[in-house]
Amino acid sequence: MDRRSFTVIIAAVVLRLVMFTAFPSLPDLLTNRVELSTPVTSFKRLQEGLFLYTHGLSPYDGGVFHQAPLLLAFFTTLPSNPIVVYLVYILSDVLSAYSLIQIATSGVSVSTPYHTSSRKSSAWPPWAVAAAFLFNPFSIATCIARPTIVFTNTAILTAVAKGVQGQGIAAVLALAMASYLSLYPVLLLPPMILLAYDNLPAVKKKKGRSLGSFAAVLASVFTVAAVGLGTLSWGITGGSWEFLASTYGVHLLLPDLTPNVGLWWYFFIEMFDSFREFFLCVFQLHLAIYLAGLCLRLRKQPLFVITTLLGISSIFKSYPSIGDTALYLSLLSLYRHIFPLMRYTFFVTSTLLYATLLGPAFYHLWIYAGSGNANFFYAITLVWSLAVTVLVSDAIFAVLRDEWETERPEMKGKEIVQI
Amino acid sequence: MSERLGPDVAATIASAALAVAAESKIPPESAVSISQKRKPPPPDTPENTHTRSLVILSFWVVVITVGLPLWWITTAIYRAPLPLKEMQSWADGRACRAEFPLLIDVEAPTLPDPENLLKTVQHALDDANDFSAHHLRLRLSTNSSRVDDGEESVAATLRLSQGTAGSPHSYVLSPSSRAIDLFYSPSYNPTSFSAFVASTLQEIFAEEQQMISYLLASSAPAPSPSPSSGGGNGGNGVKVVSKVNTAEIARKMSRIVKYSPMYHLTFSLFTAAGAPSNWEIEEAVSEYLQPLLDALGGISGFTVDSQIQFYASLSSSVVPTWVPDSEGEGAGGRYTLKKEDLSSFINSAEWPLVSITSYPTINFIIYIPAADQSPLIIPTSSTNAFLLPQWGGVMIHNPLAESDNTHLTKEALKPALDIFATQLLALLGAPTHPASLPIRLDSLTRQRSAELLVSASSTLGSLYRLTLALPSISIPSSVSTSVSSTLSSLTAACQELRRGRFGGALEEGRNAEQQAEKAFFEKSMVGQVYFPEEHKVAVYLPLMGPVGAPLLMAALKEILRLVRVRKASKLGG
Repeated sequence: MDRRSFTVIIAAVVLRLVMFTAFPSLPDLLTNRVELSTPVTSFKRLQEGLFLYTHGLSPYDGGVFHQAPLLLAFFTTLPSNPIVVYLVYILSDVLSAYSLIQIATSGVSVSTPYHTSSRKSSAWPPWAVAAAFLFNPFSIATCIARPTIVFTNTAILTAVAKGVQGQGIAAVLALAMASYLSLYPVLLLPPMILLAYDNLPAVKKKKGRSLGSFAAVLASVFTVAAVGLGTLSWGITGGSWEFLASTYGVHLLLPDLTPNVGLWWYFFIEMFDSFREFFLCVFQLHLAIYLAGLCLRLRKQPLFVITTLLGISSIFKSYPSIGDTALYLSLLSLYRHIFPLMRYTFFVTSTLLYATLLGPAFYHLWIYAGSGNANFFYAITLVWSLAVTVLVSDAIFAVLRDEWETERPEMKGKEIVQI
Repeated sequence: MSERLGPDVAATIASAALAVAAESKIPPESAVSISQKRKPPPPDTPENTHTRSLVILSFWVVVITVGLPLWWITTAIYRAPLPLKEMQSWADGRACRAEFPLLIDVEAPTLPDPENLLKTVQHALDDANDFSAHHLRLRLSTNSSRVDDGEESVAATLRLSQGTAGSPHSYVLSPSSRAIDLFYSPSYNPTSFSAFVASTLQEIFAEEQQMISYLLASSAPAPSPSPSSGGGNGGNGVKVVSKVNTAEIARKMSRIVKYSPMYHLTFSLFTAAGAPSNWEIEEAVSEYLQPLLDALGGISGFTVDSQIQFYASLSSSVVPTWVPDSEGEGAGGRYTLKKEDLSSFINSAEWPLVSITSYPTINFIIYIPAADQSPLIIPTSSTNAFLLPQWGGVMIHNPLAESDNTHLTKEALKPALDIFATQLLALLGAPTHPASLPIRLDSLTRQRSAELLVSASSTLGSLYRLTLALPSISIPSSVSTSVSSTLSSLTAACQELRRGRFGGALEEGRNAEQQAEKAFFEKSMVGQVYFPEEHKVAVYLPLMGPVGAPLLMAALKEILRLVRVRKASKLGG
């Protein structure tokens, strides 16, 4: 880690500490924002679960708490001083930034064994990538609101950092942790295996390990790790499997229709009861359906497959929050070199800003002022999702264009049409 | 419209994402620079074609292997098997011909030839009866041979004895037992006496018979032709039951509260001023009304509460008119309420008469008018009270003594509670006619059994029609269970009726009605009743349009390409 990266991290830590201490009401204010805290990540709900857990009751009684049991075990070991909690969240962000620096240093985003971008030189240096994550207002707000998505993000970024270093087992273990915390990262397993395989040290590759056996080993490691975490949780919650239904069941079945920035809550409020199961399946399947297609088409750049899948799930997962988008944006900053190829950067930036500013206002109009209704907030979440969708698709376009230009350098800079 | 806009837009976004994926399938080679528009696009490399096929295949594999089975499972309609034929036959009244055989014991210790008399009377009764489902059966009983089989309930006991000399035939009903004392004149004449016995019995049970026949007729579309119609009017002086006065019966039926195993009674004291401030309602109810409630216990249970409301004003549309006494100097007089006023007498906007129980509430109200509107009289009512059909009763109490003004004693409440007791019986549907309370209550039991039978059968009929009318409605297995429980209860009730065990019939009828209602108002079914088939278009279109179209187009393009490749290879070969 160079000095600049170090400076960036120190500055970010100081900034967060100042935010926590100089504005004592800010953390609680942000914790209550539906954009930052969802039913499956909210810090407030975590405290409720902790209270029940420390008083010897099942934390899932009452249907408020929907988070993984290991979080309970972790937070009960912490001293009850809020500063410690702040430090834990800041540390988590620092670890994320460190992973990003590792990923950027490896240069996998610009050159993989099968593809080297012709725009390699314009990629951002590691410190800039770290800064793009640490000083992103979405990341800062997420850190201060203290949803547990922060830990999921750290686990995902750690997995990716291990993946680009070719440490398949470590990557898959970190991914198992992320999946354990919030289920959807399980979709990243295939591209993660590809990423780790592509970046295996040359020595190991020469041993002639095929992708098939490599994937089988990693998949079984993942399964064992997931089962191990599940068993551990079973032990923590006093020998009850209740946590499965209360955590992953909630992700899958959406019993809590608290508004968030996603598309599900309004849709399932309106849905006819007899079609609810069907559309739950459709929505879940919709998340998974891109996996194989992206892996095949972007086989040369598995890191970008991971990025894109994170982008898609930040729009379409059951309880998305700003924290998911922050993760996508931070990974996207590794692809600075393709930004000039994107066509809708102005549209996306302005739409994101528009939604960011109007979202809280419309939520206020609906919930507090009473002069608006649910459609106000839902409309703004649609705009938000539209912006992220356009960003995801534009990034895919730019990456494909970049691959194409690498194959056909004579076409660089020329206009193209799709046929 | 705007409410339903959301999902469509969501689907549009989903389609945008799909389009992205579709875009990602476009091979780089198929992009062509604008400046070279005229040139045909350069051919795909085989590697790219292969990838594209795989990508399209990967989408379709997920759709077909996971999507379609899920669609099939999640939208499958489970229709629990229902005994439709049986349900229909109950609804049509074909399954059970309800019978009400009333057993009447005759005690005639002093008569010379009781068997013969009974035969004659039975014959006369059968002849005169034009509603065969409800018939009286006489049985001679001697005190010694009284069989306590406990099987069949005895509707009444006739006690025949000699009357005082010179008097005509007469009968006396005891108000608190089922015994009917008949006195024959000493100049005993079997013919005239048998006619008298028959007409007495008919008179006593006429009202009940009319009610039951009305109840059953209203349900069964095809009433069974009565076998004895027309032939009954013999010249022996038997009074044929007057033709069913349908309008009168309908009026009576219309005020009856729907049967429920429990009722809530609310006694309310509404006073136009600040007094009286208390009343001995608890003592009064327990002393004057509780015996009746206990007697009714076999039919329905009751819960009781009371309330006082001060400064309860009449609604503005009710204006009593001042009628001076015709002979007074002008000071004496009364306020009267017109008949139209009574229908809006209850000031439902301001009087707290909201029911808090899950079962029906019957309200009884004592209204005490303000001093400047006193005395308040309903000219058409001798008791100064009136009954509100299916709702309750109201009595206007004009305080007489000074003491009444602050405290209503138990004794002062007695007339009111006597009226309420009568009103309660009327609201529950007990016949007004025979003076004997046990006979009236037995009557009520039979009537309520008939009512339950009819209502449960018609609910089954509605369910039957509903399941046929909506072939896509799902029927949970709980409905099937409830229906079979209803059917078995109905059958049992019908058998109990035939055997003359009316208490058991009521019990079974109650269960049948409850289960039938439960089946018909099954939560998951009620919602679907309002879900027309066309809505499915609205449900599937957002999915099929934006999500299905790119998938289908991509597959189509791919298939066309494969066909072209095959043709080309054939030509080449």
